[in-house]
Amino acid sequence: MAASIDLRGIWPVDTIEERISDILNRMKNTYVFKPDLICLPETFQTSWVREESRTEDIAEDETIPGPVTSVIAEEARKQKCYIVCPLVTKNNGNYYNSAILLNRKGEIDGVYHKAHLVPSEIENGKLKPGTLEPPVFETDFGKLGMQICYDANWFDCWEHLKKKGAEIICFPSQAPFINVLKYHAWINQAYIVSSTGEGARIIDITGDELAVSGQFERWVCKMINLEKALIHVWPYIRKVKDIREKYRDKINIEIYNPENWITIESRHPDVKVHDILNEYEIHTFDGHLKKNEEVQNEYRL
Amino acid sequence: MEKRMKKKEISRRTFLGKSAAGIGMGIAGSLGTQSCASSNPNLEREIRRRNLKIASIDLQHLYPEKSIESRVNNMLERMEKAAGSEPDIMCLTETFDTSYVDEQKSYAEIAEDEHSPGPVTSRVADFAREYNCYVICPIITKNDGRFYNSALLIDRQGCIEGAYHKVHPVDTEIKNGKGIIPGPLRPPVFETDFGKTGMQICFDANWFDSWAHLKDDGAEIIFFPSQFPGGRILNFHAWKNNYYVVSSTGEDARIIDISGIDIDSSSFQLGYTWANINLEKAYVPTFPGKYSIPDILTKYKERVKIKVFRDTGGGAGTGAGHITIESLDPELFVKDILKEYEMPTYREDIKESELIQAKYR
Repeated sequence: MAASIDLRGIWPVDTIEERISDILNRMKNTYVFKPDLICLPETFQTSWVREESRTEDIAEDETIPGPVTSVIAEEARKQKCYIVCPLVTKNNGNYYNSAILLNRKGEIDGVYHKAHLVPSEIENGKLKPGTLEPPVFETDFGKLGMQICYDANWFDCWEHLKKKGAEIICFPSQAPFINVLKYHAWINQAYIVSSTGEGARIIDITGDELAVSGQFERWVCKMINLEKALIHVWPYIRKVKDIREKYRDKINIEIYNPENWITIESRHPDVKVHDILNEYEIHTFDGHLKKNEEVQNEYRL
Repeated sequence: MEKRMKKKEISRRTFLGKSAAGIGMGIAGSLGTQSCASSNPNLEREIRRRNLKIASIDLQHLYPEKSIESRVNNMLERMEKAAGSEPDIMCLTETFDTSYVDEQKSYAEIAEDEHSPGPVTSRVADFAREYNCYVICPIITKNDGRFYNSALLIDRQGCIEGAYHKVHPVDTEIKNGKGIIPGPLRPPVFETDFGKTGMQICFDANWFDSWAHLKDDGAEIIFFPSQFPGGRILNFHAWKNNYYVVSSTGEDARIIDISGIDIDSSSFQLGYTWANINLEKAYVPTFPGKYSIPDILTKYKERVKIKVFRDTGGGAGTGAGHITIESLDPELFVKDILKEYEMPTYREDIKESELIQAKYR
């Protein structure tokens, strides 16, 4: 169960204290669903907060929870869920626009540094861009990566996360990048959980929106199924009938006609999608392209 | 069919196109390259160089078909209907002469020359000349003894301007080297009298390399003849590269804006689509823009059109997002507006940011 918080409606505010309080109140709406993961918006502590703050005053340590991290970590511990907590951090004298991953015990599991900073963040905010090979974090439900706001305009880091096996990519941001996120989702066949200044979304591996926040609920919470694969329609469409007949309600198969995609997902804990692909000798989408590319390259002049 | 004779209106962005005198449809294989020089100079029509009309045909209700000849006849009939929109360029579907046709022939039997029009190309070339429009004519071609899944660009005089070879054929098309040979990863860009065009075919949609090369080489419109429609994959390519994408497929035909948004698509009833598109148009970020949209509108009024997109940006108090800005005045070039207001295009802005990021990383 993944949840995400929308910042709309709680900006601008006067103080950081007020903002933290608003965020906590909004998070509480999701607790009834017992989320495994909650994503918060980019630099939620200070974005559109009238109280002026200097980078060096608000930056928190990446290993020992600072004031804001501690408050959010307490929520993670109480709710026994992971929380992506985006704020400015400091490390070895450098400042980063970061997203800290807190685990179910409220401990810091790791940190992502925004790779593609807006130039003004570097020139005025004294921030340093993160590596182009961002980390992927192991959680008890699967592999998780992060990208922040302006990162949406590049493909390199997303591709790296895909290669490292990320199944969910959390996207704290100011801007919603709605269509762009849908593209990243299907290109990388990863779920995207976005938490922005204008909307929170959960996006399927096909790019379809599974949940969107709005004026009545400024948060989203949705079950996502990591036992799901996107494959090419050819030649595997010929096997769909057999797979359906064998697995019946233990699986769900959807055909995306315009794109020539098929999704197969397991609806039973004992059925693994990977095993079905192996059983029916079905290549993953990337595997299918790679197989074709090898033939193309062999005969290209 | 009545020829269209338009009142001439000369401006920096119009010129007089030449069209040959009407040559009856259905004359197969009779013309050849020699006909390219025999255009009738007396028949003229205005061609809007940067604001053009596009038509694209789909294959709905035209399959299955018994023979290649009947397919070509039916396609030409649909093309004639679509010609009512007076297109500057028309796109046909991938291997339109043979796809879902019962009559089975080998590549050797159907492949046409890329320089001298064969039976199918000649009929399409006649159409191009008759209606004074470019046609993207996707067929199997042969060149140096090799077969390609191609899209020929036929110009307004019915001449073959060039051929695109499908870069990423499906492995079953290649047939261990005895079938289709994949084209080069850096495909050609073709100059037309309205701008630069490129092509991608069907399975190509799943790769990004050639689409990016076409952008780098200045393509403004990509034509996409295909069996499969492409769906959101085509919207992505249009947005990523900020060029128009025009598809002509087995299921539908679509015209997609440089922002990635659909402009129009074919209907179940007609089997084709058409739209005006403006090449004097740019996709520009609003953040951290130094320009003011109200200022531009106040100065240029109805001479420009600005559309604001929330869905690629948005961004609460930052004002982040994107706009398209286009010139509606033949005397006004969009590049001059961008320069005047120090507006980088989206791609330029990304590159500029990347340099700063790399410097401090």
